[in-house]
Amino acid sequence: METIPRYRGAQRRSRNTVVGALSAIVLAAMSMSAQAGVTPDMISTDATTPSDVLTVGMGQSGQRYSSLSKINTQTVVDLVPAWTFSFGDEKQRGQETQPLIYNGKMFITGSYSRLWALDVKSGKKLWAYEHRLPDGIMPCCDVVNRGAALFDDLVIFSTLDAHLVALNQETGKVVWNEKLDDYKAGYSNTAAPLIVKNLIVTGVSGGEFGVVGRVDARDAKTGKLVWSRPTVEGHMGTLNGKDNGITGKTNASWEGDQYKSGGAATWLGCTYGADVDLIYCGTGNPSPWNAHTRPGDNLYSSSTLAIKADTGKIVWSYQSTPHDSWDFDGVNEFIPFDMKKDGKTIKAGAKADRNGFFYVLDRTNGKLLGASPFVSQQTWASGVDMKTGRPIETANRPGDPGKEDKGSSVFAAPSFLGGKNWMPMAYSQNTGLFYVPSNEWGMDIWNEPITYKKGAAFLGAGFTIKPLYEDHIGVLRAMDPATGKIVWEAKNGAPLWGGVMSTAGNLVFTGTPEGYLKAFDAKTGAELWKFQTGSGVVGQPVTWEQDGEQYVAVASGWGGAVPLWGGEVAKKVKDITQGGMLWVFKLHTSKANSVALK
Amino acid sequence: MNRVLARVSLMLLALWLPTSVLAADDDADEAVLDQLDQARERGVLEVAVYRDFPPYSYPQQGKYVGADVDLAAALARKIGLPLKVRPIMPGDDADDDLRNNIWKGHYLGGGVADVMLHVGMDPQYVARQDKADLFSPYFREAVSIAYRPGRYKNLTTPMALVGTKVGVELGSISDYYMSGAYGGRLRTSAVRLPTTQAAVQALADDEIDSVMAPRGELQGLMKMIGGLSIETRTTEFQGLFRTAWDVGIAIKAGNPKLKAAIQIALQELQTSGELKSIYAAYGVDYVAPEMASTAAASH
Repeated sequence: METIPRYRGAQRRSRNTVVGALSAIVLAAMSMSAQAGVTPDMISTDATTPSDVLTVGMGQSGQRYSSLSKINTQTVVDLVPAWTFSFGDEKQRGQETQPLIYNGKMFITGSYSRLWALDVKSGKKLWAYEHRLPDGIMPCCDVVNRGAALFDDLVIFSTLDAHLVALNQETGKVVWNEKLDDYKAGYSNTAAPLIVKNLIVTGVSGGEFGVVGRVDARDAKTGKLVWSRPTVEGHMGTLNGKDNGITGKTNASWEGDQYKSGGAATWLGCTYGADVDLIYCGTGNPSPWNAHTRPGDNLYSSSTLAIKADTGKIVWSYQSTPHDSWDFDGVNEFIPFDMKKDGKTIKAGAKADRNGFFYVLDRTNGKLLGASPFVSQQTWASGVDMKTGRPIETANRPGDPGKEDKGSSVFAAPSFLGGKNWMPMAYSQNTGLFYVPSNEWGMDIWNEPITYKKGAAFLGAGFTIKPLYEDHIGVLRAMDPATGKIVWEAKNGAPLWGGVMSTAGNLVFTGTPEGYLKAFDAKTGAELWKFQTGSGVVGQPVTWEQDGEQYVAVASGWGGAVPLWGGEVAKKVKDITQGGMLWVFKLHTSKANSVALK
Repeated sequence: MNRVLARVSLMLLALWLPTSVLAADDDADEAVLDQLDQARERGVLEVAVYRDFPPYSYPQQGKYVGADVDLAAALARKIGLPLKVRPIMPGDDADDDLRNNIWKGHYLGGGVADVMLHVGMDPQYVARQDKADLFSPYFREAVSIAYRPGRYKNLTTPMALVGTKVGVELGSISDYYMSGAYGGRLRTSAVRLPTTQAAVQALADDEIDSVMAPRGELQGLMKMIGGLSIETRTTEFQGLFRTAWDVGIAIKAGNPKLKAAIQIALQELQTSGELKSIYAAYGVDYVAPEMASTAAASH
């Protein structure tokens, strides 16, 4: 990562005494109180400080790479549980969270907008926060939460009723609580917020009709809105309460007033490239679903947007699925990394899109550097034109429900759940490879001309998701960003739905719905270790170091969007039991020989 | 299949078969009480109606009112149970509503209601539902246009709307029609508003020229807003797959007692003219369904 030389040493905290190191920072800053907490500098160097995990994504760029190597291809066989924590009560369902580790505490979110602080050494619960959810919330895809953010003495997370709540790290008491949007209009929020300097950055999710995506930046200390950037052209942004320019150009890629409800929700949040001061956010599909009624590219739906952190203005955009007909979305994480190619180092960023292409862009200007499939089948496009950056389509768009009767069914791959869905990939600075949790499935789409909405006739579409292969849906793939080639792959019966992490120990960790946390050899894909957690793993693993030992943690608890969709996929997952458990692992050292090992 | 007979034959079989065989059978839930008996045990009939859906079901001074709410109350009264209204947020389409409110329940919890009103009743749609029983059509809706008298000289074809401002509810059939019909020539004439109510209000405020929406909604909203001199016109909209449709009642499939009780109650309300009065109270001209209720009930 590009910031290592600048920060290493100067800000790196001691392994054993987090408190001592904090005091040093406090003294250096002079202006902070004795309880000084997480600073913007600490956030920006999180990826290089293995004694803590301050950000979801293990760094603002979301590489999910750790420089720790005590757990490695040789030692991982000795990885055993250290402690566990049950989320408790009847509220189980999907646990898509990522733990944060700071100041002797672990902060972990759970389904139904819950958050706990645990003693990181023992797993003892220090406090719990259960957000009071109103009746009538309508989250589209389970009641998950994807993790919190740390800033100063706050731990901040978004809730199913579309609030952003900041709690005191010590007490769990609410410090501020800001409404992101109206849950009654179908808004919700499940993504982890992103801290950039003194700002906390969030997107919006939910609201199938009438929603317009946007990115909001608030003062992380107070929750007050600083800027807001709509993701659909024609909408005015704001900065400090004043107009801040219209997104794009009104009606350039939309007709009439359709842009006013154009979709492009930012439901998976953002990443940040500190060296170029750009916030990268993916946007969802345009609205309405039926593409025939909204001609044009429908900017900036199904795109990656690069937004200047200080101004809230869009610097560049790249649309992966123009005029999206398949609900491919474009929300996936864009991960800045330095690409070595032809002897040069390129400021790049990569995104494994739901549409099945692995894109590499110049992170400074959005120029397309490469696009290659990371799934075995793509029916909708034969490739991406490197000159225009646009997909080369194959006439695989679903028919117009207003014109045709049922019968003309189209098979499209990937399915609308994507070649990759929300689950974040990882980049290894060791191998230079990306590790992509992908799924091999397609969908039949047909027109359902006779259905109803709120008691009125309506044009609908029917979908059935179909696995492409008998024996597997999920495939963990290692992609070389410089060549676009798949280096190795590891198949899995059920669809993969959990995050990936890579380490300097040459390991790649990810979970499976079958209940395993697994470790693979980062170079070969050989499965080296697995542990049965008791329920499906759809969480995001992390690793950190404490008292000279390396730890790995992941949440277990089956859920998310997959079990909510029927079809043939349901058969693969119907026997998975629910759960809600955090598992923490470390290397086994017998008391008999621990002295010798030290 | 006659469910009562099925239960009898299962009971006979039970004398011969090990219980594990029965447990694997799809009819194993025959032992579950009919939804009507469950409602009687609970002492309340829970009826799902759409939330914020005037003039059929909407909040007024902290209470749910509307034609569907009154119909629900009349049904409950005839069945002899107190009414509990469940205002529901509509899903992407009615399949979601039936799943979340009638036969499965939402995954967030809350269980199901006994009855759901205002369910579209196209025969093909009814036939497609295997988990919900759709029957007793009780009203007929038709897409209509409301406008001030004289605003359109000759509204025999929707093309007369081109170049005027036509309010539509976002994501509704009217929105789709304006966006897609005639190769999209009406697309830029649509003013998309969050609800039909907002569209009628915009018409009352002279911000738009007309509103396209189901007739009952238009009439009811015009009465609510009041003092409007507005014409409504129902025309055949070419290219729109359904101009008019019946709405009826849904319950979870396999509850013959509840179904029979509702059918009888509704029949009485229709015959006595009470149903027509309920609609009239909200300014809606009652239009009887076209489907024979017996045909729909034979599902």
